[in-house]
Amino acid sequence: MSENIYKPYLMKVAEVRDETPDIKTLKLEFQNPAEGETFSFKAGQFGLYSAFGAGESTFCIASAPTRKGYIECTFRVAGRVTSQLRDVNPGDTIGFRGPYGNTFPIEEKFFGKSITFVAGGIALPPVRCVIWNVLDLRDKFKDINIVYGAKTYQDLVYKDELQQWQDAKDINLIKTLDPGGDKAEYGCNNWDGKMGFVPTVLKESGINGKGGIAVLCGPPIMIKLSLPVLVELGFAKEDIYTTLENKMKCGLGKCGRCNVGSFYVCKHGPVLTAADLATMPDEF
Amino acid sequence: MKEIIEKAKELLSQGTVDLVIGYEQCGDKQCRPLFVQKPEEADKLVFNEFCVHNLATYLTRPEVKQTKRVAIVAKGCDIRAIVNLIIENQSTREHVYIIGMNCPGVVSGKAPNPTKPHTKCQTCKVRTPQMSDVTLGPTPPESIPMDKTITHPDVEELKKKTREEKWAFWREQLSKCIRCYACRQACPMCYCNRCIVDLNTPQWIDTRSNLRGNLDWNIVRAYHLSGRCIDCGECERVCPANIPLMLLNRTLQEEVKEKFDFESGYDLEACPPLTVFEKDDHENFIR
Amino acid sequence: MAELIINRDKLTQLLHEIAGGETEVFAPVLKEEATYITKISQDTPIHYDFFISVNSVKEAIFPRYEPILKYKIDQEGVKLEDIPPMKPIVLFGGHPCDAASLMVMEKLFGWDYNDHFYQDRRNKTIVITLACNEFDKDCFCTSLGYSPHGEVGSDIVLESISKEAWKAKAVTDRGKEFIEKHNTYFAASDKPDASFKTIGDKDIPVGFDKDAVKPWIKENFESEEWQKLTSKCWSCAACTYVCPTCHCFDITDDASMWSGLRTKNWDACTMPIFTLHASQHNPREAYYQRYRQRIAHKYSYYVDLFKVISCTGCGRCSRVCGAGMNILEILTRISSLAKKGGK
Repeated sequence: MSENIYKPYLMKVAEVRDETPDIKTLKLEFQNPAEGETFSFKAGQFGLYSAFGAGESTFCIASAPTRKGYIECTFRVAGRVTSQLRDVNPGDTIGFRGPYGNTFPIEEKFFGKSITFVAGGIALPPVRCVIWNVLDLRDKFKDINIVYGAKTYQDLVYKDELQQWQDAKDINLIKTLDPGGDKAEYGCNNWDGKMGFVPTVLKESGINGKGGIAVLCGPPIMIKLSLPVLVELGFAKEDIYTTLENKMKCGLGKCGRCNVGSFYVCKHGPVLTAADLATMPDEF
Repeated sequence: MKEIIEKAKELLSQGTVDLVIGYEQCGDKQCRPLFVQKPEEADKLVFNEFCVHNLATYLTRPEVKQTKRVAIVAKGCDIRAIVNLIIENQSTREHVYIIGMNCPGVVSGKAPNPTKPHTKCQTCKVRTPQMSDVTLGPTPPESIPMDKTITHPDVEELKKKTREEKWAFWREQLSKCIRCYACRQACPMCYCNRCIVDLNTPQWIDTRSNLRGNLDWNIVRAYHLSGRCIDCGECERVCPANIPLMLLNRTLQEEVKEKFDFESGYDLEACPPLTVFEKDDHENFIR
Repeated sequence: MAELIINRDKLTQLLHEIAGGETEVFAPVLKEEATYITKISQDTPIHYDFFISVNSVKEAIFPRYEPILKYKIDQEGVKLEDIPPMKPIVLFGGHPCDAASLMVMEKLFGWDYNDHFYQDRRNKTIVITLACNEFDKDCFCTSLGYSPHGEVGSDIVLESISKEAWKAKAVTDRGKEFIEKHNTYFAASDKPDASFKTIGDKDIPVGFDKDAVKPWIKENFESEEWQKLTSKCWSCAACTYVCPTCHCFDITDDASMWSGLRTKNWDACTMPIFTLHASQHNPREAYYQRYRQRIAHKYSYYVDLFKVISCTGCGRCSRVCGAGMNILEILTRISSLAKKGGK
C-alpha cells in the first residue's frame, strides 16, 4: 500500500510554557524514538500540528535544527485547533506532519556575515529558530543584532531567552514596546528597553546593513514599514529574508489556498527575500 | 426595452445614482444581471420573461453599499426582498432607487430550455410593484388579492405524506447537496457576514457533503428564513443538484402565515414575527 | 485490433454486472430532469440520452469528501489506523473534456508528494468516454487544443454509429484488456445508421487564443477589467464543484471522545472564508479577487507549475452559474485585450 502523505507523527507533549496570556509554547518529543532519530529539518521549515478531534493547524518549527531530539512550536490561541492545543498537558499526544517548505540558506548565504534579526509580537518564533541556529554556530558569523518589539510587555514572547540574549556580550539586543506598552497593568516594572514602533527603533539603531543579512518577520504592516528602513540601513533587497504566512490545510501543494500568484507558500516558501516579494502580485 | 435604458441613462447622467443593476440578454432564452456604471453602457439593459434573477441580493455587497445611491431593476417579488432588507437594517429606502417593473410573469426551469411558467408567478400578489421610485412596463394582468391565503399544491402533496415518508423524501433530496452554497449566495435574505456554517469554534454544522452535514445545513438555513423568505425561488433555481428547496421554504412560510398571519416583504412597517418580540405572542417561553 | 461494436442494452448489462462485484461503477443517471455521473448499483437505470452531465467525472476519483486518517483515543494515547486500499473503478459517461481533465489533475496530486488517495484510484480506473454528438454555446474544448472526439485520458472511446450503438476504440493497453476480458458483450459489426449525425472539431469554433491569456494575466493583475468581468459573481462554489479540474480541498476532523476521522473535503477559492486567516486578515477579501484567482490559477499559475492549462473547455461552470458568469466570454475578452495590448 502506498504511503499516506497526510499521516502525522505521534508526538508526546514534554513541556508546556505560557508565553503570554494567549500564546503558548509546546515542547514535543517523538512517541516512537526511532522516528525522532531519522527526523531532521532546517531553519525556516514548518509543520502541521494536529489536535486529534479538532483538526490541524500550521506553525513554524520554533526550535533550532541544531538541537536534536525534540521540536517546539509557539502559537496564539485563535481558533478551533489552537483552543484545543491550549489545553494539552505534559504526557498528552498530538500529531505533527512535516517538515515542509524551504529554508533559510544559512550555510550558503549567511556564513561569514553580520546578521540582523527584526521581529514583532508573535512573529518571533520563526526568527527564534534561526537565532538559536546562528548562536549555536556563533563563530561562523560577524555581528549579531536582534531587534524585537511587541505591543505591550505582556505580549513579549520568550522573555527568559530575551534576557539571555541581552546578557550575552556578543549579541546586540534592542527590545522595544509600542508607546504605552510599559504600564504596570501589563506586568511591567522598570522597562529597560526602548519605547516605540519597530520600524522607528530600527531606523535609530545605527545598524550598518552593508554586506549583512537581515531576517524580518512580523505582521504585514510592520513588514511593509520595516522593509524601506532596512534598505536605508544599507541591506541589499536580495539579503533581506522574510517568511510569508498564509492559511494552509495540506502543506503539500495540493489544497490550493496558500498561493500568491504561482508562488505556493507551502512549497516555494515560506522563506523568501524582499527581492522575491517585489515580483509577486499584491495579494498576501 | 427602451424606457429602462432611458431611465438608467437619465439617473446616471444626472448623478442621481452611480450604479444601475439590471438585466441583459445572454442567449435566446436567457438573461443575466448587468451592472451599469456609465450612461453609455446602459444600452444592453432589457426586461422580459427571462429576467428571473432577484437582483436585490447584490444590495448587501460591500461595493454596492459603498455607492452614493444605487438603482435596481426589480419586479414586485424582488421588491419584497428590498422591503425585508430595509426592515432588517441592511439597506435604506433612500439608498435604493427602485425601477419597479410591471411583470406578467417569468419562466422557470434551467437554461437553455426554460419553458414552464415559474411557480412563484402562479401565486403572485404584486404584478404591479408595491413600492417603487418609478414603475415601467405595460399594465400587467391582475394580481391575486393581497388578503387571499395561498396554499401551494406541492406543499399540500408533501403534507399528505407520513412522517416516515417525509423523512425518506428529504433524506434522498438533501443527500444530493454538494455544499456549494449557491443557495445562500443567491439568496437576498442570506446576508450574514459570517454564516453559521462558516463558524468553527465550535463547529455547529459539519462542512462535509455527507447526509448529516447536508441535513443540518439545509434545515438550519430554512429555519433562518422562516418568516423572512420572500418566495423568489432563487435558491432552487441556482441549485446544481436540483434540490426542491422552495418546498422546504414554502412549508415554513405557510406555517408562519397560519401561526402569525404574516407574509414577509409587503409592508415596510411589519417585522418578520420570528425577529421581534411582542407582549401578546402566544408562545410564553420568553416571558 | 478490429473495431468492435457495443449497443446500449449490452453496455447496460456489462456495467450492471461489474457493479455487482468489487469494482465501483460510475455512470450517467437521470435525477430530476438532469443527468449526473454517479456511483451505480446493479439495478440503477443508466441514462444515455443526455448532452453533458451537470457534474464532472471528478467525483469518481476525487470524492466530495473522503477519509485520510482514522484514529482511536484511549487511556494509553492515540492510535492511528489504516485506511483500506482504493477499489478499482469503471468510469463511464464522461466526454473527451472529462477524460482530458484526469491528465491535468494527476500532475497536481503527484507533485513531489504523491497523494495516493487520488493517484491510486486514478491508476485503478478504466475510463470509458463517450465521444460528443452534440455541443452548445458554452463548449470550448477546441480553443484549448482538445477535440470532441479526443482520446486524451481515456482507456476506451465510444463513437456513436447510431442512436443505440457505438464503435469501441481501445486507446490504452488497459482498455484493450478490458474489451478482451468482456468480449462477449461486443459484436464484430453492426449496421451503422447513415442518417445519424455527429459533430466534428470544426463545429466548435476556437473562441480565443489560449497562449495569449497567461501573459495578459501576468501583466494585468491589477487591471480594473477584473472587477468589470466579475461584478455579477456572487461567490458560491457551484462553478468549482462541477469543474473537472478544480481540485482545492479542506481537511477537517470529525471525532467522538474515543475515535475520530480526518477527511479531505471539496473546498473552493471562490468562497469568502477560503483564505481567511485566524487573525481575520483575508488576502482575497473582495469578490473579484476570488474569481480572478480561479481564472489566474487555471490559465497562469497552473501553467507555470505543470505546463498545462487547468481547464479542458467543458463549459460546465458557465452552464451551472446562476448569475450568468461565462468563462468562455471572459477568456475571449482577455484574449482580445491581449491582442490589442489593452489593460
